[in-house]
Formats: sequence, structure tokens, C-alpha cells
Amino acid sequence: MTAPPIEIHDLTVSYDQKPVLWNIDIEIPEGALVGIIGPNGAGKSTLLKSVMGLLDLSSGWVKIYGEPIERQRATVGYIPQREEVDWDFPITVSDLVLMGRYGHLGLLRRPAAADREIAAQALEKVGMTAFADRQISNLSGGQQQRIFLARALAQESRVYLMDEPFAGVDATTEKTIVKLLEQMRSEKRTLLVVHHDLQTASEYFDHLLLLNRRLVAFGPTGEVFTEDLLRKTYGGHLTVLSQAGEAIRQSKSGKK
Amino acid sequence: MSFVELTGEFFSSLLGHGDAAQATINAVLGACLAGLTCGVLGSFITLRRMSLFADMLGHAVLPGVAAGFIIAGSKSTPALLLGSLAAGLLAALLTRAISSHSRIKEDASLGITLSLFYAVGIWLLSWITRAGPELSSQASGLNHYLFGNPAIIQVIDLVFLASAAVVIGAVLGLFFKEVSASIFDPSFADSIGLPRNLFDNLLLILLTLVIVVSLKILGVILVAALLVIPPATAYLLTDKLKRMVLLSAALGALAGFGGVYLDFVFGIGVGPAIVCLSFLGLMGAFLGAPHHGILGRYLSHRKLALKTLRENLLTSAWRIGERGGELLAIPIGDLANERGEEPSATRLLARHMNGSGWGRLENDRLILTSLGQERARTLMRGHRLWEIFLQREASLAPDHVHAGAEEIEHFLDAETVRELEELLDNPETDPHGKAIPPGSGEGETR
Amino acid sequence: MQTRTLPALLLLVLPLLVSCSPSEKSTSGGKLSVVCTTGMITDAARIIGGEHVEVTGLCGPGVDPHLYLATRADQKRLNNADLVLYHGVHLEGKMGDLLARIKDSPREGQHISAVADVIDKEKLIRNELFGAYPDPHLWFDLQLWKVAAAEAGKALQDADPAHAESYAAATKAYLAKLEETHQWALARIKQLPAKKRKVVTSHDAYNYFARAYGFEVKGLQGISTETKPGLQNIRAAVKYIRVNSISVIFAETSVPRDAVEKVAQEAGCEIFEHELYSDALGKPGSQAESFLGMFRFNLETILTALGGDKGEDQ
Repeated sequence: MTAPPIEIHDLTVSYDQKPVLWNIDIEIPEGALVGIIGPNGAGKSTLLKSVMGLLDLSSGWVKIYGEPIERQRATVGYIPQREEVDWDFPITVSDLVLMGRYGHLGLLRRPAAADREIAAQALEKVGMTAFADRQISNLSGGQQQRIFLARALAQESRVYLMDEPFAGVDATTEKTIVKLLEQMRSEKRTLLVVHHDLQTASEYFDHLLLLNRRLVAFGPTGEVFTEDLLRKTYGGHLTVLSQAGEAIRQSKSGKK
Repeated sequence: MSFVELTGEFFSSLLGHGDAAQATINAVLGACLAGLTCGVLGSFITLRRMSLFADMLGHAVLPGVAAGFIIAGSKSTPALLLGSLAAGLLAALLTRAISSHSRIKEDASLGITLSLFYAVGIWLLSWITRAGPELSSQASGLNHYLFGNPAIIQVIDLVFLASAAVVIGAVLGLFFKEVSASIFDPSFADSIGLPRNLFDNLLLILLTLVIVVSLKILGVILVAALLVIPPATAYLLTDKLKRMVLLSAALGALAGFGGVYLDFVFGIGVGPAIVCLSFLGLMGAFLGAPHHGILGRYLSHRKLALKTLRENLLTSAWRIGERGGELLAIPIGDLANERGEEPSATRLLARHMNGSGWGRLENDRLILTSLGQERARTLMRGHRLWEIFLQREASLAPDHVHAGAEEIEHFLDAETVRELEELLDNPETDPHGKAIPPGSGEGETR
Repeated sequence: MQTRTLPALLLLVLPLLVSCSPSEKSTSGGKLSVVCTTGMITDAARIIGGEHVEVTGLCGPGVDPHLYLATRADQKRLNNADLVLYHGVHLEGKMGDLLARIKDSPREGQHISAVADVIDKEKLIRNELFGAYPDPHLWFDLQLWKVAAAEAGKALQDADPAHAESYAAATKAYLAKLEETHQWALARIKQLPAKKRKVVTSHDAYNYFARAYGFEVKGLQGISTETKPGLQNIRAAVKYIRVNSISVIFAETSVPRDAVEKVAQEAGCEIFEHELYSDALGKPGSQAESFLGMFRFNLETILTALGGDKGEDQ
């Protein structure tokens, strides 16, 4: 019996002694395309960072295929929200994507031709091959998002954590990303994606994780995307609630 | 002696002839090597925004120099080097400790450490002058230690410098990808398990090392300058990190060489000469670098303006062609009418078409090539699709859409046009009822 | 007396007591306290002042007066001294402001004198190379130093009229010794052939010596040790050595050796085993601890190094 890709047990995370996430217990099945949804401040980004071991846990643990994250770095790819990078850094698109191979190389080894090939293919998958030699600041927001995605693909991880990959991107990029997620799922990779838009959440993901500092619900989209659970998740956020209602109505009527 | 003769003497000194040839050779070797090493390491340091550390460390080594002297009882090079190294590392440690364990930010922390260490250094030096004749008589020149003099460096100094250069080059070469990833994207580095702190500290140690071995040759201010100016210059000249590092090394070495040359011929002091040369290089890049320099940006702006001008002529020509006018050879008068200008003005503009590959001015007619026609067609297609887009999606009235489309037609690339076609369901006429030229995707950017 | 009036009286009397500060002598055991800058002046002050003075020198053996920075303790000593003797002619480069301040407004009863300032300006060596200021190293011309020593004696007499006679006599004796040494030097130098009288040292401290006693001197650095020798200086020195076939050059005690060592390396000549004294005297117990001792030592050293025979001691 193999261990699940992601197992989270009794996870609690605090900032400044205030709990931001507490008592999270989840097991993510392999090959699931999971959307994490919840209101602002629900701790969605925090959850991803905790799984990645970037934050200290007040309690609980996280296992990736039965092992702690420190031993599974090559297995998990993480795409944070975009802003944290120096865009003026002298690095081209292809160099950035190649960085995805560094986890496999370890110290001292240089990227080989095979690594460059993998990087090139990843770039191709996101439709950015034409931009390979551009410095990264000469790109639109959506294009920037795509190259970070390509880097993650180049990592060839089995598990991917993505923080709002669809935020602020253009239509082409959004389509590209959705296609990519589908493809990755068909490759039996497990995907955990923080998402902000309720309407598309029910379309894009086969599992949903409803989060508001506590785990409200986790399961297949059909089961979990109910008015009742959404109300529990979004609490007093009324405008979102009506969005939620609309989203449910639309998904029920089968409109894509 | 004229400067030409002196130049001749300089180069023959480098070949070993003439008075004090070895001193000149040593000075050149020292300055170039130091410039090169500072250029390489400085690239990473400036990208990592650690440049202020260089200045702090240059001053913080003073108590180490004094302590080394006191312990060794003389100005023995190894003692002073070890002392400065120890002081530098301690200072770096202290700076990091202050900012990581309190609210105090790194820049203030640097100021604190610099002042503290320098003050202790001065105090130790003045203690030495009063410490009795054995020590004080040996101490002359100790307070000059921070100021360097390439003219009197000995082979042992070069050996230390070369060793440091080798170490720095090897470490940065071996860990190139780790160091650059740590600097560029710290959270990615963390996520793939790179020991980011280790590499941060490594940079700091290498920085201390290069400062310590370069002090005697260049002095504090000069080392700080070479760690910043050549990398900044290279930064403006390239978009690839490897090239930036190599360029920075070359610029540093060149500045070193030039500085010694200027001191040899004009006696102006190696230090100031190197800094001024580096700065001139920076100004050159600042103004003239192709993408990031002022001149470069101005030129590309001009290029864009020219392209826009030519494309406007093309669309005007197309409209004439649509109404049944001759497309391939348009009289300037007709073109001027279409554009609402004086023929003389149009003629002036039409001249700019020459050399574009899209057409030329001949016999007072604008002649279009097939490439030019293609481009005109593509432009019109984009323009009219955009008009429909504005009308449908932005709900603009038909007479409001032309101006917007007029501006954007130059920037619609093939991908965006395809998107528009899809979005609008491949329409065939624009809001004014004009036919939309069928697509072919040729004749792009000039 | 009532208890209130006593404090009031004290308050009245105190200022009077304080204002009657010692006018000519301080309480250093009844001796005149004299603070001097350079070792040469300190030596002269001790000799002339004898048992009537307590002399403190700021620049000890091996200390460079061009660069010397007065500490807080030094400033106190200067402020408390009855008599401050300094060189002037911009020798004490880094103490200039401090000394000027004391000169302009001395403490009441305090005397201050720049002993070299009284020398006839015509006799000072100027050179465009030196910039605005003349060369201050005039003590190496004993005729000029006699003037400075006399001025020091006069300053002592002004500061302490009670012992003026003693000072005057001591001054006369000292001047006589200076003159005697001067004549001795002139005679000794005749034993060295003129073409060998070329001295290469760390800095331009010996121009007066050269002029007075018939030498050619070349310093690596300028007259102040504040600047560093660059490639041009090194090359010029090497060229000079080569052209004049010099086989021995000199280091100085109060100046770093590394530049001279470099020159010797490049020129293929040696540095003489004994260093010359330039701006400072020697350690206590050495021949050079007194000014005249230092002068003789320098001369003997130069003559021995450059190939002259040792003459009779005086």
C-alpha cells in the first residue's frame, strides 16, 4: 500500500502567535487536480507554504509519499505567487526554465544537454519558445506566469503546488494553463492549486478543498461544491455568496 | 618627456626594459588581477545588493590590522592579512546578527559595525604610537594600510592576491547555479532545498577575502569602487549573467591596467585613475548601451517612430487602392489628399519609405513592393478587427473606434490577431462596412 | 561668624583666589613646564633649561611629526604648559590648527613660540615641487638650527625671567656646540670625493643638509610623508641611482621602509644597514637620543656607507 502523495495531519500554523491554520487533516489522492478555495485570509497560500516546509508548524506534520518534505524536494514543485523575483536580473527565459533542473542536478554538476532538452520542451508546452532568449522583464504578466510554469514542468515533479496561477492572466495564458493542468493530471501527477474564482473552480478541478483557516470540506467537486458548504466557507462574505449561488446555478445548468 | 615617449617607456617596462620595470609589471599585474577578481565577485555582490558590505568591510579590517601588528610585533604580511581577515569576518557576523535579532535594518546595522570597528582600529593605532619605542618605531605606515600603493607591491602580495582570485573563481564557478539561484529567486531556492543561507554567507566570506588581499594593492575606497562600478557597467550592457560576470571582469582588469598606465605617464595616482576610468566606462554604458542606455533607448524609440510612419503610409496607400486607385504606384498628390496633408509634406515622409523593403519614392510616386502590400494588408486586417472588437466588447460607437484602432494597429502581433479572429468569429466587414482583408500572417515587423 | 556669612564670604573670595593663577611658574615642583613637539626641540629645551625646567616632548623617537595627531592628553598638556615650543614652517602638518589656536589666544601667563619661524625666509628652500610651503627640515643645516635654538633660549628667558641668566648662558654654550659640530661636519665631508656625495633616502628631508654640506640628495617622496611614492617616484629614483652609479641607499627611522626596499630591488643596490634619522630622534640609550648625537650619527653613517673613511671622533 503506497503512501498518498500528500498527507497532512493536524497541521496548525501561526503568525505572531495567532493561529492562521488549525487542525488541518487531509489526504490527497494521486492524480487529483485539487482546487483550494476560500475567502481572503483563509490561509490558502499558508497551506501551500507549510506543505513545502517554508513555514514553521505549530503542530502536526506533512508527508509526501510517506516521507518528510526535506527528503522529497525533487518530488514536489512549487510555484508561488509571482511578485517575489528581481525582474531586472540578467537572466533569459530559457535560463530561468533551466533552473527547474537544478533540484535534480545537486551541487557541483552542470546542466547537460538532456537537461536543456527537457527545459526546451517545457517551454514549448507553455507556448513560449519564441521568447527563449528574452530577458524576463520584457514579458507580459501572462507570459511571465507561463515561464514560471515551464520551470515547474522542467522539474518533472510528481506533485505540484501552485499559488493562484490564474491570477491576472490573459485569456490565452489561462487556456494554456488549463490545458497543461489536464495534461499533467493525465500523467498521473498530483496538483494542488490555490484558486480565486468560484465559477471556474467548479470547471477546472476534479477535487475541491474548501478552506477558511480550518478545513471546511475536501472531496470530489460534485460532492463538495454545494451551497451549504460554500456558505460555511465564505461565512459573512455576502457578495461572494451570491457569486457562489450564481456559480452553482450555472454549473448545474451545464453551461461551460 | 612627452606623453608619447612615456607611453613607449610604459610598454617597454612591461616587457622588462627600463628603470623599475619589475615595479611596473607588479603594479599592472596587481591592479589587473584585483580588478578582475573584484569584477567577478562584485557582479554577484551587486545583484545580491550587498555592495554596502564592501565599504563596511574595508573599514572594519583596521582593528584587525592593528591587532595583527601588535601580536606579531612587526608589519609581517601574514599577520596583518590574518588579522584583517578575522576582523572582517567578525564584522560581517556582527552586522548580520544585529539585523536578524532586532528591528534594526541592514543598512543601519552596517553603519553601526563600520563605525564601531573603525573606531576601535583608530584607538588601537594611537595606543601603538604610545606603546613604547620597540612597537611604535616599527609602526610607521600602519595607518596607511587602508590606503594601498600598487607601486611598491612585492611578489608575496601578488601571490596572496592570485591565490584568493583562484579560490574565488573556483567557488563561484563550481557553485554558479546555486549562487545565482539563491540571489535571483530565494523562495525557489528554498523550495528545491538549496542551502541558501550557506551561499549567502559564502559570498560574504569571499567578499572579506578579496578585500583583505586587495587592500595593500588598492586600498579601501578603490576596492569598494571596483566591486561596484565595473559590475554596474556590465549590468547595463548585457542580459545574461555569465556575460555580465565576464564583462565585469574584463572591465575591472582594463580599469586596473589603465590606472597604472595613467599613473606611470601622468603621475596622477593609481587609485583615482582607476576609479575615474571605471566611471567613464559606466557613463559610456549609461549613455550608449544598446538596450539599457539612454542613447540606445532613444535610438530604438526613433526606430519605432520610423516604423510607425512607414506603416501609416502603407495603410493610407491601401485605402486608396480599395477605392480603385492604383496600389502599386501611388502619385504623391493622391496620397497627400488621402492623408489631408500638403504634397510637399507627404513627399518628405514618403522618402522615409526608401530602404524599408516595403517600397520607395520614385518619380514622385510611392511604389510598393509585394512585401509592402502584404504588410499593408495585415495592418488593415488588424485595424478593422480591432474596430469590431471595440464596438462589440467595449460598446463603443462606430465613429469612436477608428482612433483607437489607428494607434494599436502597429502593435497587434500575429498571436493577438488570431485571438481576435477567434473571439469575433472571423468577421468579414468592419463597423464601417468595409471588407476585412483575409489573413495570411506575413510581412511582419520591420 | 554666623553660618550664613561664611559661605557668602567664601563665594566672594573664591574668584579672587582663582584669578590669581600662577603667572610664570606652575606647580610642577616649582619648575617651568615646557611642552615641545619634535624631538630636536625637546632636546634643545632640556639642554638649555637644565634643572629649572620639566620638559615633555610629544613626538617620541620614531614618530613622524608631519603626521602626528595630538591626543586629548596631549591637548591637555599643551593647554597646561607654561611654555609651548613648536617648530612651525608647517612641519607639524596635522597639529597646525591646534597650535595656531594656542598661539592666537594663549592661556594667561602662557608663552608659546615657533622656533623656526624666526629664521630669515630668504634662507628657506622653496621649490615648485613642494607647493605653497617651504621645506621645513632646516635643522639639518646647523647654522639655521642655531637661530632656532637661540629663539628657544629667548622664549625660556621670557617665560621664566627668574632664571634668565642661567638660560642665557646655557644657550650660548649650546650654540657654541652647534657651531663646533658644524665645522667638524664641513671638515669630515672633505674626505669624501664629491662624486660620491649622493644620498638617496625615503623622503625629501635632507635638502638643507645637502645645501649646507655639499651633498646631492634625492628623496623618494616629497617633503611630507603624507603622500605616497608612486611609479614615477620609484622610476625617477631608480634612474638617478643608475645614472650616478650609486651602490648604497638609505632608509629612515620614522618612515616606512617598503618604498625604499622596492627601489633597492629595482635598482640592484643595497640599503645601508643603519637607518638615517630624519624627523625624529633615536631611542633612549642610543647615540641618536640627543640632537647633536643624531646629527653626528647621520653624518658618520652617510660617510661610511658612501665610502668615506672614519675620521677622528670629536
